[in-house]
Amino acid sequence: MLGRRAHENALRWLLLAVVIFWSAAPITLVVVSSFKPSHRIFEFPPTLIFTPIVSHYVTLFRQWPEFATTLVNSAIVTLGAGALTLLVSIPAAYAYSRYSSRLLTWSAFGMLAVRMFPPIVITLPLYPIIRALNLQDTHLVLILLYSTFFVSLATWVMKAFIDEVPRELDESAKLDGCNVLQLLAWIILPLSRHGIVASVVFVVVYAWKEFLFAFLFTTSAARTAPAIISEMLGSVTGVAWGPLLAAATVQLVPLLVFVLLVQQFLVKGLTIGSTKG
Amino acid sequence: MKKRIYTLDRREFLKLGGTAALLAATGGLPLRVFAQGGRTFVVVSHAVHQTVATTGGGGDIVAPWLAEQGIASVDWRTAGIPQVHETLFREASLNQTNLDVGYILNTHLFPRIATLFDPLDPYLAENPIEDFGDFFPGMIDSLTIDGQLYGVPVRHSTSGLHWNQAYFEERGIPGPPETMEQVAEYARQLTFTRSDGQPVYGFVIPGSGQMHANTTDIARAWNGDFITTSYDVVCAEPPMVKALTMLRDLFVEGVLPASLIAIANTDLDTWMQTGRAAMCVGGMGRNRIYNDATASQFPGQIETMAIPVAEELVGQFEVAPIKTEYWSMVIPKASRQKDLSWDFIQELSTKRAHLAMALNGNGPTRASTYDEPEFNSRLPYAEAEKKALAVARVPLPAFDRSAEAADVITEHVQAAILGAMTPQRAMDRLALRLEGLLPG
Amino acid sequence: MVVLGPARERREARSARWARLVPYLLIAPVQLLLLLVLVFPSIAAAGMAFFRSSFGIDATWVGLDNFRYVFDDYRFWGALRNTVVFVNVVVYLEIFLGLAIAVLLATQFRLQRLWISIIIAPYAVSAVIAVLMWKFILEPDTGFVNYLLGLLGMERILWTVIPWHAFAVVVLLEVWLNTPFTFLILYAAVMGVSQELYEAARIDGARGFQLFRFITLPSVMPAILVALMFRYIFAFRTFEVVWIMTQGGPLGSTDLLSIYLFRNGFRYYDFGVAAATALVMVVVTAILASYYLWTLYRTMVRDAR
Repeated sequence: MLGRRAHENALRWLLLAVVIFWSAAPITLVVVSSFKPSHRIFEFPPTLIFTPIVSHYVTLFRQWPEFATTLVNSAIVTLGAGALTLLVSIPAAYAYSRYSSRLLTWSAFGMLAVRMFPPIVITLPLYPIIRALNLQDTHLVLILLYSTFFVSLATWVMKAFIDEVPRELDESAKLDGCNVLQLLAWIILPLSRHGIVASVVFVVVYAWKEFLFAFLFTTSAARTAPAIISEMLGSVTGVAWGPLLAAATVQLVPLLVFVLLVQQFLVKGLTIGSTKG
Repeated sequence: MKKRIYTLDRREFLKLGGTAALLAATGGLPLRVFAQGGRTFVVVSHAVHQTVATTGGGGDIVAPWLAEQGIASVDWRTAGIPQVHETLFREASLNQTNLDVGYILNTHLFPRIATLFDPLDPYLAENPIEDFGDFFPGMIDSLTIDGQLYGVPVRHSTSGLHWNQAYFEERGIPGPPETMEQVAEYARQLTFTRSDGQPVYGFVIPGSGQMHANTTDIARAWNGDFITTSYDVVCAEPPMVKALTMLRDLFVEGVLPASLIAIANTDLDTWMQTGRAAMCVGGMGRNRIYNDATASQFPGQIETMAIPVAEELVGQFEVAPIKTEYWSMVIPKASRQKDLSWDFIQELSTKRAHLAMALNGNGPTRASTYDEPEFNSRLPYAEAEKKALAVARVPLPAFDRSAEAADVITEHVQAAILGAMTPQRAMDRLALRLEGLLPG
Repeated sequence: MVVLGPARERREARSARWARLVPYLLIAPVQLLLLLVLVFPSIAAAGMAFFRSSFGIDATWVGLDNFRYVFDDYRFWGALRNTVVFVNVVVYLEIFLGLAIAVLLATQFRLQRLWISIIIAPYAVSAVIAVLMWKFILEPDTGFVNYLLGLLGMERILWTVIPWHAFAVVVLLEVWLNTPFTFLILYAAVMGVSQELYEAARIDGARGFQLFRFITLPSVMPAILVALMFRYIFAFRTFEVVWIMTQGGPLGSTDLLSIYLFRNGFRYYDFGVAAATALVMVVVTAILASYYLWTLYRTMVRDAR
């Protein structure tokens, strides 16, 4: 009996090891290799213990000075998209939580149905429109685009959290003389602040990772990191793996850390977002 | 309790909300300003243009111009051929762009696209280029659309056969191949493993991207084409099929590397320099890169000759009527420093500049450069290039859907070489597709 | 003493009317954003499908010509076929893996939070980085995988040259990137299965795989269906990974509908044809999402009286 349990246990851990390897090995390999001297990058079997060097990072920023700018752009666009998403979603979430009417129901339905649109479809008409509005190569255009694709989800997640806040608080605040905005800011939000994180997490991840819109609608001033890394990947004579791995590490690690910190909110948001609400 | 929530979160909320809203509203504008600093000049081109304009025996011809203009540097945006044109067209179609000069391949400059660029006659009238008649008339002709000139030719790339003399000696081959059949025969003999374990492939052509152009080079040994300049689809005719069959056979025998369709033009540089390839077909100007003492393991031993014809055409042509492609400099209508753009073009178009670039491995588009003793004596292939140029033609005529045609051709050529279908069948199917893509 | 007069009544009526507007004002920003950036452009895109438009020419009405071109184009059918195969393979692999990992993790390990964090990690990886990562690992001559395969005397993975290798690699990348999503949904579902059900089944003599088959699976099935549907819709859109890695090649083996659209629109600059393809994509997406939309309509609009 005990033997079988131990056997099963060993199997469990073995399977876990396989799963962990599958998820972590590629990432670890890239990050670790970025600190290895060029001739050791492809050594087999790859060693995890060595004296790290940072020359690839130096080369990266020296040969591609634009890279630093694109990182800043990514940051701006990500923060902006997060801010805009919250700005428009929170009031809407409150409305959907506390009020009901036919119009509201239909608008909610529309909001969720619209999530089904493939983003690539709107690139075609937006291409000339953005040029005409001179929004080409601005942070604003990306901020607008990224928020749009996640406001539905954000609103829905936020609504679920606001639902948890008892309506009595609304009433007493109104009796105290609060208008809606004050009510939102000083009572609802503090009590549903986990909802804020849960609803904004997805757009933040998306904005930092996104490639298509960045590639099409920015060229230099507002170029984001993914777009320029794809250029680096596809350019010039052969592939200089050292700086490329460094670039990958720099782009990847911040988001990785972020995702790990907010994983509970990810789960919550996903669960809410995938049930019909 | 309530009061505390009010005050604590009011401050925090305002702070957060304030900065976020500000950032979102301004689209990060304040931060963006920090990104640029100083006057720059932006050029979109293939990497080779930057190379021939700035490095090599002829010197850097851009640096003195920069000093004169007080510009810090040229921002060369280089990429592969399709990407260069994508970027160029996209930038040129904007209302305003910070792109100043673009390089465009002749095959991509069809009438509809020309509307994105400034006609250059006004510039020429005000600030003429020296001895404009010196430019090859054929090129000027095809750059003139509706009576207006849209580009100044700056580089032609005419293909030649590059062969590694050291390997020829090692394998006991007396001299360069004299017919295309001999090229195949020698290639077989030149496929071996070196004493240091490095495998050598007798013949390599870049198989990714510009396959339509590279295959045309081989087919021209039989005077073959995919589409003629009079827009006839002839890919299913014997000349092209023979060329493809030769390539397919070489691939099967391992003379052409298995990773062929992943090899790009620029990869080929490394292959020749490290001796992984014994022979290749490509722009003659690459001779300088292959023999570059700093990068090549065979400096001075890579020879370049005009591509030989097939046996059946000996006597008809001295050398194969291979492809020539040429690049021109254009000014996008949306560019903002037009005087500077024209100045740049002028500078690079002088006889002196063309000689310098030619010494750096460029194919000059001025006839007079070929008479320069410096060029003639320093570049071993000058004579061969002149011979080839005399009979060369473009690989594909320019038409609306030529970009798509190039992709479709590449797909079918790759299919034939990889063995997905026989060369004849691939070309039959290709003929059908191409008919659908041609105008009218 | 308060005197209620007509002035006050009017004031109260006005503020009541104003109060009724509040919810609509609150949802206005969101709806406006969606309308301006998503809905109107989509309608415009649908319209573009009936015009011939490109650089250097004015848009001209061509009726169904673009659709005729698309349905005549062998590359469209190739892309469609590839997309169908791709989506199915990817989605079922992800569900299978997600469920398997969820069930495994449900047995609760020491350092559970750590393992879950690692399993979620690929979600933080952007398409570009993923391509870079796997290009590095699958480098034809010097990469680790091929080196290992070489040592074992097996054939190398030549994804730049052999069509089905490229397809497999692209599938691999999509699955690797998206398994965290299915895992999270299914893990939550598996964890939500009441322990009592397991107890009752165990008392009846069920063990191991039977427990999974008769308790876990049925209880988790709704979540599986939800994950399935969402992944279908999102896998159908796949663009970034494929474009960055293979651009549809070699020999069109990894050409997907989104790639076909992009190439026609932004490489050949034939916006009409691209828009026609876009319309096709929207129609297919609507079909894929029809069950979701129907359920949504039912629960939100019809039954929520």
